Amino acid sequence: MINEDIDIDQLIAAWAPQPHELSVNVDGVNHSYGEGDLRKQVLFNNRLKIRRGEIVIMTGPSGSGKTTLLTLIGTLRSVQEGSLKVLGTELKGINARATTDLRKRTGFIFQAHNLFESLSAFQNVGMSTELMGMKHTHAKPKIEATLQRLGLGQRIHYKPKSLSGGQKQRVAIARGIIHQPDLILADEPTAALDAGSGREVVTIFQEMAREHGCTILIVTHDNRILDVADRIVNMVDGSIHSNVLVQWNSAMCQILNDFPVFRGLTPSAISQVADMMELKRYSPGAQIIRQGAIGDEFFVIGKGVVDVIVDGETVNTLVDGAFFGEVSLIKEQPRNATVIAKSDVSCFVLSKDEFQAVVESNSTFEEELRKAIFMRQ
Amino acid sequence: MRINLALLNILNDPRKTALSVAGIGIAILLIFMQLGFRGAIENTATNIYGKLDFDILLRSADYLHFMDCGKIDRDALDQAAAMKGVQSVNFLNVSVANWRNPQSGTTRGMLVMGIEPDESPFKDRAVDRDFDLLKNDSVLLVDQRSHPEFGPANGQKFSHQDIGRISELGGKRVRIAGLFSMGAGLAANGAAIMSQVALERNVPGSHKSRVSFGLVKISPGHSPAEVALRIRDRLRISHTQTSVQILTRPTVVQQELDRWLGETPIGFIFTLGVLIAFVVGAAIVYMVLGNDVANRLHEYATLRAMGYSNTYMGITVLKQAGFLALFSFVPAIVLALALYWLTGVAANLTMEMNTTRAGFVLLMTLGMCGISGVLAMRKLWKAEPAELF
Repeated sequence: MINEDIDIDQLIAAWAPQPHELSVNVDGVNHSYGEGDLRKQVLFNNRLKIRRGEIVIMTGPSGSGKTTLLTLIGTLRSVQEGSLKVLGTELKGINARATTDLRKRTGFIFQAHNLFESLSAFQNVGMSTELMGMKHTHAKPKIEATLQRLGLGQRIHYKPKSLSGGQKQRVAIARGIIHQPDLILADEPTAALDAGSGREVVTIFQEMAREHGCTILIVTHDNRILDVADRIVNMVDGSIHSNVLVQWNSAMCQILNDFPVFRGLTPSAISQVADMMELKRYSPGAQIIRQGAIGDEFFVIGKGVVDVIVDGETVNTLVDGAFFGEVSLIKEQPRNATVIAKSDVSCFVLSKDEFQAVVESNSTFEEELRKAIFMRQ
Repeated sequence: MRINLALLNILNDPRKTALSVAGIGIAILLIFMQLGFRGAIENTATNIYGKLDFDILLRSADYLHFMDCGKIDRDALDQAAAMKGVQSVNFLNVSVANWRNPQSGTTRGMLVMGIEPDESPFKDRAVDRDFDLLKNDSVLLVDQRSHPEFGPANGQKFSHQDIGRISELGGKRVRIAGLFSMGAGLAANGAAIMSQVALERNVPGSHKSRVSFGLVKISPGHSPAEVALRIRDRLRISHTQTSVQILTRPTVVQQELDRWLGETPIGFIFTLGVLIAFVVGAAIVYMVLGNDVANRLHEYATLRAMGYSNTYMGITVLKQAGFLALFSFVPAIVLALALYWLTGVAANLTMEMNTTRAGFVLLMTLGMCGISGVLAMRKLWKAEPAELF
């Protein structure tokens, strides 16, 4: 049975968001630098959907294309190939005016701070509120409160050259969030910060995501803040290697853990399997599997009611959290029953090939142990 | 209270800004000095005409400049006097004669003006002097603004100490009976006034039947141009018009300016000086602003990433140029006033600041900074926000 803490509706919504819920939709984006013989492709057919209010952490080795993707999403580079929609606007072939409008709705936090050297901390943040046309009397208390909260209360009127690296970073963060952007793009925002202020920053991010539906994309190697991620995207060699919706993945792991067929898999393997589950929807009356057919898919009912029919006779009715077709993951056998949807049914489906691939590539317990010991050195 | 990024950028590094302002200020000061010299020349060139009392001037067609002015028949003056609209006609005779420096005995060419002591050709109070002194024989009045090489008793400037001293003009004995203050212009370093009678005695060929200038005053209610035309027609009949120029006051002044500033290299030299100072100033501003933009390129890229428009960034650079202009102009004009005063004392040249010139130089400064600002702005377009991450 499905654990009661798990909200299946939310899982289904998160797994398959409606187009209007998307803040960022990267679809088949390729990108190259240079011309002619020097042309080098750095992004390969990337797909990424980010829902409004999601906090996404993007990791990956340097040179993997994270930054390029980030600058593409931030309209700082123009899209060459594929479609990229941000806050409802298609970026391919976007004009200058729309670019400026989008940039105003985006908060950038640069690792290199890029503060205005001639301006005080307060004025640096003020450049953001002024651009939004915010009145000084209205902006002043807000800026002061934000700087205060980030521990810069004593440094409000200091110029960048009198601030430490971490303090500059916090001013840059304040500047990036003060205007309540709909999208925050941050590059290593917490790298220069101590644990306390780093935590304060991610807490602010979470508040912005929850309270204002702000979408936050963070490129970071700082594993202290992984816990705030709704989604963790890993890029390798110019493509998205894995894209894990953390909550969904952990819920799915819990579900899979209950099945005998997954016993003996390590947690990371189960997580990989969970990641491979696909959502399929059926309307009432639809035949999900047919008795006698060769099947290679395993089903977990997310939501809905199905009838199990053997030789024309309904033998069972299954509801949320039940599963069927598990034998097909191990052996190739004809289906021994027909399953028909009685209501709207959402199933999480795992195919045999993918399951086998995970099992084969997955290391045994002993191998895992060796790896762990090796990593310690 | 909007954040004035341009002003704060300028003030951020006061030492650097002070250096820039000094450089630009020196260029502006140079412009002021060149224009000042030019203005002083204009003043000096037309000074003598400014003091003579006339509406229409008759002079020889051979006129080159005040010291080489040719002669016309006195007869032409009499004909002009008979024309309708003419109130009076006076004359001035000009010669150059050797003056012996009473101190050293060396001789110098001096401008000598012959007048009738009863009928001064000068404007009232222009040469604030009672010419009755000239009624004695063999006396002259000497210009206090003559160069010291003419031998003033105190070695610097003719003064009351010199009154009564004896020297020689044109090889004949003369006595200094008094002083006047005029400034002889660009061609002569020293000047004196004598009666026509005394002039004829000291300088051969100064007979009163031939005069250097005819000074026509017109009656109220007549236009100088019309009267000049009438005189020209009258003189054409008497066949003397080809050797006589008939000019209104503005034409005389303009011709004098054209001659000194147009025909001699003097005007060109100062115009060139102004241009060079302008270019040097513009180059300094361009270097200062170009450097500033280059140093702040990532800041401009950040502005662009935030959603600030290109216009905002361009205006920021232009405003910086404007602040540099104003900050440089103020000390430059103060220094210029000081140097004008110093030049007046040291070089006996009257350099005056007027609002027209101050305004013109301010406009030039703004133009100089504006052009450089626009040029420096081109560097802005290199600000690439994609490089920020």
